[in-house]
Amino acid sequence: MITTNFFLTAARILVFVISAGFLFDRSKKYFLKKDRQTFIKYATTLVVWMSILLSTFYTPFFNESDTGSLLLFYMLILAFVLIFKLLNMIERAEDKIAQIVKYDAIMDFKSKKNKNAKNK
Amino acid sequence: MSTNYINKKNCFILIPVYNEGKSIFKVINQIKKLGYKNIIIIDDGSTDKESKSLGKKGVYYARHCTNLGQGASLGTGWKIASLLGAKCLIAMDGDGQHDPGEINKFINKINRGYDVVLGRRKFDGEVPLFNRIATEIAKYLMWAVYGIWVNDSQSGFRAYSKKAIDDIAVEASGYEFNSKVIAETVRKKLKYTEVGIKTIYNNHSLKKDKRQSLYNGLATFFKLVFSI
Repeated sequence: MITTNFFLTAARILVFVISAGFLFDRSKKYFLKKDRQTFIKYATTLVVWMSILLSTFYTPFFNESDTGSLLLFYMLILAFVLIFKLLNMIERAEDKIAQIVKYDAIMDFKSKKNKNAKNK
Repeated sequence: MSTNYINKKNCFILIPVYNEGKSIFKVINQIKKLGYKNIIIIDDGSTDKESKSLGKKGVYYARHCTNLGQGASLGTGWKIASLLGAKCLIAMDGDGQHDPGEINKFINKINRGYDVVLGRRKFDGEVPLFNRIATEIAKYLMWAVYGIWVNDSQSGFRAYSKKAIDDIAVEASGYEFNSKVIAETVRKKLKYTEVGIKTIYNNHSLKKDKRQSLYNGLATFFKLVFSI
């Protein structure tokens, strides 16, 4: 029978893997100087994701026996990660749309300019 | 005299507009009266009636099919200025907040060898309190995020030399464009300075500020901190 403890352990592992993955990815980007990572961005990432990672071992605000609250806590963290990723994807989609609109405006400008030059 | 000397003929004025039909024509006429012929207008998907005739005003005109934000318009205008071979680019607002009579202050600085000249607004008179506070916050945020201290990181009245036009590449759609340009200026080791400018508040710009300032302020704040 699947118990709350099973879900709690699964959620802990999932949160641990995600936060470790984020920390590794950002550290790699920072030390390889990719994506214009600055010290402030890297430090913010370290504080946020290190806290989340540590929470999979030790949760000062909850009693270890209160599995329901702990499970809820990890679910909230996972929801936060999902929302963050979703916002990130929306932002990237917006950037792509902006690139297309800007390209279109420049191409239209160029063709009008060429047309005017021919007419002259 | 050097062929790189900037004057009214080889200097381009870039004005991003969004529903500025009530003020933009006056701004264009003021600039033309001063002898500047190269005006680039980027219409960021305006929906007002007046803006439809912007392309017929004897200016270089391009239009975004949808509203993207001031940064995107500046980016488009930047590329068009580069295509047109601009030796100097002056960016200013289309709502009449900036005095075209002050353009020569910027050109003088470019001719003295600066690559980027930032307008520093004087916050006196009827400047809304929110704008004063937002500018102060932006100043400290700029320092915290990029480690650069400038008095007015959000002013839209700026000048760029040919070197800056070629070297600076910023992709941002909102007001964070202005901060990112400063960061790029420092990263590329370009020479920059600030000049004091007047800020004129008319009915149109005050109404626009009330509608946009809080949202834009928060959006810029989060984009700078998290974009990142």
